[in-house]
Order: sequence, then structure tokens, then C-alpha cells
Amino acid sequence: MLFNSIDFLIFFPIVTVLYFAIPHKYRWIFLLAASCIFYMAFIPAYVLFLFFLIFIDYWAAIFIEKSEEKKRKLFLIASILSTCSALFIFKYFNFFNVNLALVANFFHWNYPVHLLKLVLPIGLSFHTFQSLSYVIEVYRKKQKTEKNIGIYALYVMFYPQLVSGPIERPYNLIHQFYEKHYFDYKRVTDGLKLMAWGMFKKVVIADRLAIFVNQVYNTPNDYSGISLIMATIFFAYQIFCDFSGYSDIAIGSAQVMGFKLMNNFTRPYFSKSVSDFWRRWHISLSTWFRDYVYIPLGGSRVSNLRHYFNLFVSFLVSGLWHGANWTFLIWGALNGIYMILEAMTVKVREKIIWLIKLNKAPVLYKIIQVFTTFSLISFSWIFFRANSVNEAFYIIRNLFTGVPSLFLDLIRNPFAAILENHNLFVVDQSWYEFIIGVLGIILLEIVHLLQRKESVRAMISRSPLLLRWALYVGIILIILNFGKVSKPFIYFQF
Amino acid sequence: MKKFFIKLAILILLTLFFQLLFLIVDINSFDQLKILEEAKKGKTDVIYFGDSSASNYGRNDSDKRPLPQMLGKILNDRTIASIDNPAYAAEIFLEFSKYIIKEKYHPEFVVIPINIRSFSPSWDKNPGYQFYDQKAILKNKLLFMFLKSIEAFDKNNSLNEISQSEFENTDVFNGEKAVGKAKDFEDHSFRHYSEENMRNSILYFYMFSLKEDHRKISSFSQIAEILLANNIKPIFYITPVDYETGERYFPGQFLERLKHNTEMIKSVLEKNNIKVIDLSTSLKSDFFAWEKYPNEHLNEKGRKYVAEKIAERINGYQEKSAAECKKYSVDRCPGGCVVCPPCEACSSLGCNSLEFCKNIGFGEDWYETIKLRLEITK
Repeated sequence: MLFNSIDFLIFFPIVTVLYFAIPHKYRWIFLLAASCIFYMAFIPAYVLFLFFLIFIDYWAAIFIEKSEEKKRKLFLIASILSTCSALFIFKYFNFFNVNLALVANFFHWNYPVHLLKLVLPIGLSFHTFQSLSYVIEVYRKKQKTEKNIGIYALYVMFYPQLVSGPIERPYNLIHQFYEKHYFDYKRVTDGLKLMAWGMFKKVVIADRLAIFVNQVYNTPNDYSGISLIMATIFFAYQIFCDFSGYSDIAIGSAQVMGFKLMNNFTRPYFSKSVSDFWRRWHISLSTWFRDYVYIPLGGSRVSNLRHYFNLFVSFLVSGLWHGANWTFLIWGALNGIYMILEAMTVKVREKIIWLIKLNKAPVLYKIIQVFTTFSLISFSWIFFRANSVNEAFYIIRNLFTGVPSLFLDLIRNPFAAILENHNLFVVDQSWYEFIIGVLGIILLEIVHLLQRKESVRAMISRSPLLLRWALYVGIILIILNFGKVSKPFIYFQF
Repeated sequence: MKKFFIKLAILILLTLFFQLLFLIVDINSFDQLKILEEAKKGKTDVIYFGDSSASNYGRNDSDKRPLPQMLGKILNDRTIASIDNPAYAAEIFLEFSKYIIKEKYHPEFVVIPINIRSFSPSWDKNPGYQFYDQKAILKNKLLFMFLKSIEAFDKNNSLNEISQSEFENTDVFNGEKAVGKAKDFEDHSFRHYSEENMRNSILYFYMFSLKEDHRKISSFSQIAEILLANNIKPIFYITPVDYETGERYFPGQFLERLKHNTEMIKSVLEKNNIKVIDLSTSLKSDFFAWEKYPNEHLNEKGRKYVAEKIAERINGYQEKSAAECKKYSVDRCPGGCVVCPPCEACSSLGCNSLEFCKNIGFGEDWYETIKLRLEITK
């Protein structure tokens, strides 16, 4: 079920009201049933596959807990292998198969393996990672096994975060299913406000920017220079608003019922470095890779070379997690390289900053840092969004074609330059949509700036009644009238 | 919890109130609807469903009046209202027709241009030329208000929007042969003039092979049925096409394709006893106003010619008396009179009134059907 669908607009209030109406001891059963309905709105039969994964990891964890050290490891490996095999078959088999066939073809070998025609279960990468987190934590003895298979199933299937996260940890979520949640006015209204903000980001900003991005990225050869730059910047905001919008709705809907899910984004485009960005972007996944890939590899407490290797591998795997395509792998590798370069040049950069006395102008220094980070991250998004590696390289090669002359024209006569080159900015779309998209981004960043000191929801709560209600009614009206036609969330494909 | 639900109810009511207000303003900004309402009040005789081909003019035109105004001047004894649509859309014309018949007052004539290019993939599936909201308003204002309010959550796409990707992946044909997708032609055709782009544009716009089940043809059929059933005379005319330029890029093929497509439209409408005014090959290149790429925009001379042809058909509906008709020779027989023999067994021909011809067993179209045979015999 899509959050931005009528189905969800009906589903959510019914489930929430019934949740509070049902006695506490039956609530988990009700939530599990509701989560099944939510999941089955996509491909109903796949719920059986999800039950199968739940069954395997549930028992694996119990065996791990009961067993001695050697066997524990064996059960852990068996559990990881079985969960990852499912992910491999559905998500990666065809990718590896195609590439192996290419290699075989190069050496003139016979390669008879055919492609699988399987539809990827929605959100598979998310709930497999959540399951893995549980099994690993049980293995690490940081988490007791959950004896009630229903509660464990609910941990994997809890509908707000079932298909696109946040990827929860067992020690954060499982105990909450046992706690009795009361109807708390402030918590409920705060949750609803967060949901409205998430919906605004998704349907007003992300889906609108998608029009421009798709136009350019689906036929990049028809564009160059400023059109490609605009589309890339728009994609940076599209993916942020799409995914953080989803996370806000997920966190908000869980909050209404009394559950606290982990935060997934913290104003990532205000990051001062790439490592800072990865502490603020898709936090539940970044920390997953940190806890279960990077640190087990040795983290930073190893030799420099090994540290760089660990960084690179973590990001490469993160790229692969996002999709079975070379574009995602390159995107992951590129971010890995950024991280390595950042780690390698700490002292050099500090020296340069001291030499040019940039540390004496902290605001300017921060602006430069934020701008540089945003540029690097946006550059890496090219690989994430491009339909193929070739197209990504075409975009990179033509990113600045005609830009210097346009820049000079803009300095000389900005109005004339914009009018004359308007099609480069709006890329065959209407100014109306373009302006709403840009205004959406501006509003988003204003909210982010306000969030530096405290939550905007808290500020709204303190504001005069009339202004507060005008904001509530206003945001709903904007969503209803300026929202674009229902589109799936980008991260559903992962 | 009670406090929460009271506040929630107030919020919902407030939102509904402002949403209603917003949508009422939105509906009232629908200009064509206003024109339809005014036409009803003013008891307009002729309603013209126009598009850019009726209103655009050439750079050097001294008379920049749109075609409906020129028509109004010729038909000076009749009132005319023009419902100009920014782009041609047979589907919205169908909704206009349905809207017109809902009212007590009906105009005598409705003029419906048939723009050949509108059948091409560049136009038919172009999301920008669908007028979803306007169609929904004309169908049912209340339903529109509801659907518009839930549009962002409506994965079933109840307003029937065509997505950009659906449009871009529409097949483009040269005759029966698929030569690419709309996206292959859409982005580069018009930006820079080149012989290749020009040829591609013409191929994209005109070289398709029209099928009887095309949704626009079906809309025309429905328009004809609806209007005729309500005693409104539909005047369909096929807008002129710059066939000279087309022939330059596709010698022999362009006219052949144009003829095939126009004949297809005419044959379907003839089933509803509609005689289409076919102006598709009536004007040479110097009657057109286009500068960048070929289209149906006419210059002053072109618009005047088309207005005269439409006026001729409208005047033709005014039956003339037998004595008046007899004043004319066969080759100058005007609208309102028909050509038939002076008696049932006569072998000669004369210009007579429709009533006279019908009484001796000759229909309105009799002469048209034998004319071609006579010319061949000559």
C-alpha cells in the first residue's frame, strides 16, 4: 500500500482508532494482521515468502541462543546465508547472470543459464536487513530471542516501516510491542504533523521535481549544460524529499500509535563533509553498514590502508544494496572514494585553511564546506539516477557545455539571459511547475534552517492559535491542490 | 481523546470549506465554460469549436482577426460564439457538445474543425493536450471537485491522465511501419532547423496511417450523433494542410497518406449522414503562417478562405425557393438549392429547390454522386 494513496487514507485512521480501542493484550495480533493487509496490497502471495523468512530467522535466533560457541556461529552463518540467498535470487541473480554471460561470451564459453523472471518483493532489502540485524544482535548477545513468533513477525512486518524503513534494531523496537500505549494528545498530533510534512515533501516537491528529472534523465542525449545541472540538482532534492517524506510518514504514523522509530534524516544537505553527510542521510542504513559491515571489518582501528579498504568495501556493498546495476555500484564506489580522500587529506586541508585564514571567517568557511559537500554528493547522484553507465558518463561530459557563456550572459543581463534560455531551465515543462518546484525547495531549506535550533513542530505549537490553524489548513490545502498524481516512492524498488 | 476528535472535526470542516472555495474559483476560471454560458444567454446561432489554427495569424497579416470573427462578419445575420481551446482536442469538443445539449437552448450550428495533425502521436497522447480538468468539469462539477481533491492520492488515475512516459513510448508510424517512439522525435525536432529535423517533424505529424477505431474519430462520430439528435447541424471541416511542403519531403507519399487519412474520417462521418468539408489540400504553402515547423496555422488569406467555405455550407442549409433556384445555372447552383433533372424522366439537369427534387425522387446528394461519373464520361 502506498502512503500517498486513498487506500492508506482509509487504512490509517481505521487501524489507529481500532488499535486504541482494542485491549492491550490483543493489540499485537491486530497490528500484525493490519501489517499483512498493508503488505498484501502489493503482491498478496509474497506475504508467504515473508513468513518463510520470518520463520527461518526466528528459529535460527533460538538455536543461536541455545547453542555453544561453534554451533552459534554455524547457525548465524546459516541464517545469514538463507536470508541473503533469498535477496540474491530475487534481486541480484539476473545481474550476476548477465555479467557472467558477458565474460563467458568474451572467452567464447558456452553459458546456458537463463534469466529469472521474478518480480522483486517490495521492500525486500529493508526487511531482510532488519531480520539480519535481529539474528546478529542475538548472536552478539545484545538481544534476547523473542519467544513469541507473532511479536517477532511484527518486528519484521510492522507496517509503517515494512517496505522502506527506517531499518530498525531489535533492541529499539521489539520491547515497544509489549508496552501499553495510551492516547496522548501531544504525541498523536505531533505524529500527524510529521505525516503531513512528509506528504508535502513527497507529493508537492518530489513528484513535481520528478517531471523535470525524468524528462532529462530519460533522454540525456538531448540535453547539455545547464539543463543537466538543473536536473541533477533537482534529483538531489527529489530523492531527499521522496525518501525523507516516506520516513516522516512512517515515523509519524508509528508515533501516533505510540511507537518511536529511529530518525532517518537530519538536514543532510547542510552537511559540512561527505562523512557528515553519511551521518545525516538514511541513518538507519548507514548505521546498519557501520555496525554490521564496517566495524566487523576492523573499522578505523586498523592500519590506514586497511581503514581505507574497510570504507571502500562498506560503500561498495551499500551501492549494491541499492540496486543490481553497475550505476549503483559506481555510486557506492564513488562515495567510498570520497570518504577515503576525506580521511587522507584531513591534515592537508587543515593546513590550507589555516594558511588562507579561512578559519577566521567561520560563516564563509561553513558555506564553502556545505557547497562543496552538496556538489560532491549531487555529482554522485548522477550515477544513482542515470539509466546506464554510458548515459551517466554522457551527462558528466556535457555537464558544463555552454555554461560559461550562459554565466557571462547572466552577469551582463540576467533577465534577457533567462528569457532567451528559459527552455534550458524548464526543460520543456511549464514555468508554473518549475516555480512551484523551486519554491518547494526554498521552503524546505527554510524549515531546515529553523530546525537548527529546535523542532519546527514545537515552534508551531507555541505560535498563536490563528497562525497555527492557518498553517495546518494551509499545508493540507497545498497537498490537495498542488500535489502531483500518485507515484510510488523511489526506495520501494530497493 | 474527545478534545482531539473535536479539533480534528473542526480541521476537516475548515479544510473542506477552503477546498470548496478554491475549487469554485478554479472552475470559474475555466473560460470556455463562461463562453458557453454566455452563448446560452445570448441565444447564439453558431458555436465554433476553435483551436490555435483558428486564432493564430501570420507575421505580415494586416487583418489579424481570428477565423470565427471572419466567419461572423460573413454570416452577418447570425450570432457566433467561439470556444477557443489552446490546443486541438476532439475529446473536449465532445464534452462541449454534451454540455450544450444539457441546456434548453440549442444553437442552430456547431462548427467543428478536424485537424489532421491532432491524430498523430505527437498530439493525441501528449499530456499537455488532454484538458483533463476541463473535461471533468464539463462532465460533472461535483465529481470533479471530489476527484481533484484526491488527485495526489489517486493511484487509479480517475481523471485519466496520460503519463509523460506513456506518451513518450507511443509508437510513431510511417504508414503501417513503426519507425520509433514519440520520445525519439519529441525532443530534438523543433529546436534547430535542419532538413532532417523538418523531415522528421513531417513524418511525426502526418505520415501515420489512420485507423477507423482511432479515439478521435470515435469522438467525432459521437459529436455528430449527439448534435443531430438534438437538431443541431454539425459543420465538420478538415483544416487545410500544407501539402506542398509535405510533398517536398515525401514526394508522392505525403498526398497519398493525407488522402487515406481524410477519406477514413469522411467515410466514418458519412455513416452519420455528415458531409465533411474537406479543405485538406485546398491551400498552397503561401496560405500558411508557420515559421518554425509545419502546422495548420493560416495567414490572413488562408483564414478568409476557410471562413468563406464554412459560411457557404451554413448558408447552404437555408433552403431557397424553386423560383429563386431556377435563376442559377447547374454549375453556379448555390447552397440551399440542389441539382436534379427538371422532371422524373428528363435527361437534362437544372438548379432546383430541394423540395422539388425530393418530390420527383432525387435526394440532396444525387448530383454529387453522378457528377464524378459525368466528368469521367466527358
